[in-house]
Amino acid sequence: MRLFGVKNFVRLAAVMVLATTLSVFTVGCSGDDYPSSDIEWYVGFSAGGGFDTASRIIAEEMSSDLGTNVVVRNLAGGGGRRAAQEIHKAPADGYAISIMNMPNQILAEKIDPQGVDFNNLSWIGRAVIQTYGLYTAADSKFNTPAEVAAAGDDIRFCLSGLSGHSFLVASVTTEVMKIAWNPVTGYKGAETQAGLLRGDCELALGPMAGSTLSAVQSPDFKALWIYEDERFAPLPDVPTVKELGFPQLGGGKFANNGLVAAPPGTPADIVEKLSASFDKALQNSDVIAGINKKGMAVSRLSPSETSSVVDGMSGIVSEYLELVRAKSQSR
Amino acid sequence: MFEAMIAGLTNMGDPAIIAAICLGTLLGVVFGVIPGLGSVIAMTLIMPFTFGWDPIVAMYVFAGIIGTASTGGAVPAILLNTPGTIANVCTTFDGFPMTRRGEGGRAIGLAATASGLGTLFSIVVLAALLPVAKLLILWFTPPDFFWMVILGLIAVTFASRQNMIKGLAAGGVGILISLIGFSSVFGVRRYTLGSEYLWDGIEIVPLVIGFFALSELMVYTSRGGTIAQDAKVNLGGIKQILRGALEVFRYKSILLRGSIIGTVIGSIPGAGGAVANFLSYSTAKQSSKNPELFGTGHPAGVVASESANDAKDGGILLPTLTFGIPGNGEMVILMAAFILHGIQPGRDLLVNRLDIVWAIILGVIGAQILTTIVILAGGAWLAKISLVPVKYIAPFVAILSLIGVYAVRSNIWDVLLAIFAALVGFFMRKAGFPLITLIIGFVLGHLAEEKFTQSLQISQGDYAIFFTRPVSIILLIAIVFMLGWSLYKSAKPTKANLESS
Repeated sequence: MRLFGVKNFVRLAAVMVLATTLSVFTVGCSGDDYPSSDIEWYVGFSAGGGFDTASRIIAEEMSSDLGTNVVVRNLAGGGGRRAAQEIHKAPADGYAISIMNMPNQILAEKIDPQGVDFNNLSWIGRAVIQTYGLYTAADSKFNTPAEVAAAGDDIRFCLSGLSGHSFLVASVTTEVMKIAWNPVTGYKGAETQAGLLRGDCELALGPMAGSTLSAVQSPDFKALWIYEDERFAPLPDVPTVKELGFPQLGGGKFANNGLVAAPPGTPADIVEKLSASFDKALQNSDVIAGINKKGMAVSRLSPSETSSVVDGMSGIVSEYLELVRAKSQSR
Repeated sequence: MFEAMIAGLTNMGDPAIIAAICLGTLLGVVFGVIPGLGSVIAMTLIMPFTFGWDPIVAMYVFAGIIGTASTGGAVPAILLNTPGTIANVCTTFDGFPMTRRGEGGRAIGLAATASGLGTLFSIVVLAALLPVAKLLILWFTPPDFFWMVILGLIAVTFASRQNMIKGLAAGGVGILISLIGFSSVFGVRRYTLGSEYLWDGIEIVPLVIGFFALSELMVYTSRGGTIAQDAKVNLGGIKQILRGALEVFRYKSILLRGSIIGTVIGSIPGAGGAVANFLSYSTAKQSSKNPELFGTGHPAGVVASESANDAKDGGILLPTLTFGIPGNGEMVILMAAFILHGIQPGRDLLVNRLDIVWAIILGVIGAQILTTIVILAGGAWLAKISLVPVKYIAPFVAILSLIGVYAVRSNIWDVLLAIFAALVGFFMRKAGFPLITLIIGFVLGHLAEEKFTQSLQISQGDYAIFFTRPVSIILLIAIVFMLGWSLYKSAKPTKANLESS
């Protein structure tokens, strides 16, 4: 039996090679003079998510302001780590910037180092922030940290995994509040809420934004506290960790931050230009409305303030890294 | 629920949505008409290009393809005696004899109308079950879910209609491939060989494009010639088509039974349109007063076959949308499209993204109505696409596929993965390994691991959690029954074996 027609097969193979070559050359080019050509904005996540949408909205506004295209490029991989690696090694010429999910990416880098030094990046500013909170099913018997701590060792947290932001927050919270706990992993989005309703777990953590905020505001769930010093406007009745006597968990240090950076060593004048344009975009009412629509809040910071926030987050992650590692390995 | 439906209906006036439905319909019909290509390849090809689109618009395109391909597949089945998709096989039994009698148009009319009504029936059933689906999600705890995934894997393997051992082997390989990459559950990287590319595991888009589209092209290219071999189109006139379209209503009970069979069978993972097609046809024949007419060009045969294979659409969407368990290749691609557009099947979809659900439902309905009109008006012309030589079709589809793969993530490794998957898929086809089992194993393997781990985390390591819940026990019984039945069938001597001995 003849396996296949060699001649035709070779033709198809040739077409595939040609198509591969074409496909590579149809995308992307770079310019020489700043800002004379497109600026690439890396997003370490797939299109359609919160950070991706925010990036596209801001990039569009920056394009008008800078007079050049700011092109969003999705470099999904490793929970944002691929984009972080790309920006870390990109030429320091201002033609590549990236949005980062902090402190999630700092934690991932500390747990499994890949050579990215976040403190060394040229920070442009902060785009968005999402306040973190702890919530449970409405009919849960838990209302205060004391009640949770008194429950014994049966408290289960629905979390995404053993290495993410929510695992860090759960590890630190339970350590500080003296709560015995177990993680139940693999929960994202509305599946977390289904897990709470089914009784897979008793507690869940997450950014109080988007569908999670809608769920917490519904009669099916209740938020027990938020990780801030001041009350959160969309949940005015929910106490802060500071009010509950745990100020060390407050100050927004566990909030989800969308921070934007340029490669290490980017010249100060270019950082200044980018930062000014970025900040201007964040004051545009359409940009603010578009980001709010995705359940996030615009929260502007200057380059130096952003750098300080990153330093602070690195400190917190370093402080609790061994605890996170120990908890992760014990599961 | 109703707000989302009304919003969806309102959106249907949007030019972008109308264009999306038209595009989906065009792709579905053309790829359905070309035997062997079908909806899976149409969906794989268009998927990367929808990247960056509004997810709602993208879903209308996919729904358009899902709703139309097997309707399009009836055209070559009737006119060329070559089923466009595997779900159109029974249509050839009576459709082609009608064509030989010079009644091809009448058969096209019967098929298009039966398909349209079958789809509408199943989609209405799906829409009616959506409120219940939300409750179902809360009934299904992780151990129940684990057993359901296992049941789905076994059902798909047994339904592969090829060597069961090869099916199991392919499914096993699919599960192993699904384990590659960073496991957020355990916080470790597995089998990545230090490669950054493998960090997130094997990407589903290049994998399915390589497996389904490119390997199929390689098969056709190796064979040469035209896709439909040796055929002359014999349609009759427009009056015949209209006669056939109206004649469907003479076979109301067959139409209804075919629609019910299609909807129910469609909801069982692995069963799909082909099983529904055969079951509906054989039931119609057995219950007929004139069974001898079936196979000779009996209109009832066309109605039974086409109503069932299209009615599977509503049924098969139910486990995909509710639990993220795809029952066939189409649904695997739909799942890949969900991933591409950041959509999570299950509670998230049914609670927060009902707009997506209704886009799919309304898209299928809109496309089906459009297809019925298109097939009635231009079926004979469409059938001639099958007579275009492969050497013209294959390069076009190959270029489109690979550019599409690269466009999603701008990663050349994705292109190389697609080519590698094409080669593996080609040789798997030659060796008789079912590709669909491997892909379903790939999709469900990760889910099985996650639910297994979750169950043990909930029970703090107590395996009894898998055997104590009523839903788990029912699913376990179903698994045991399916395994037992399969072993019984394989052990039972067949007539052919007895004769040879």
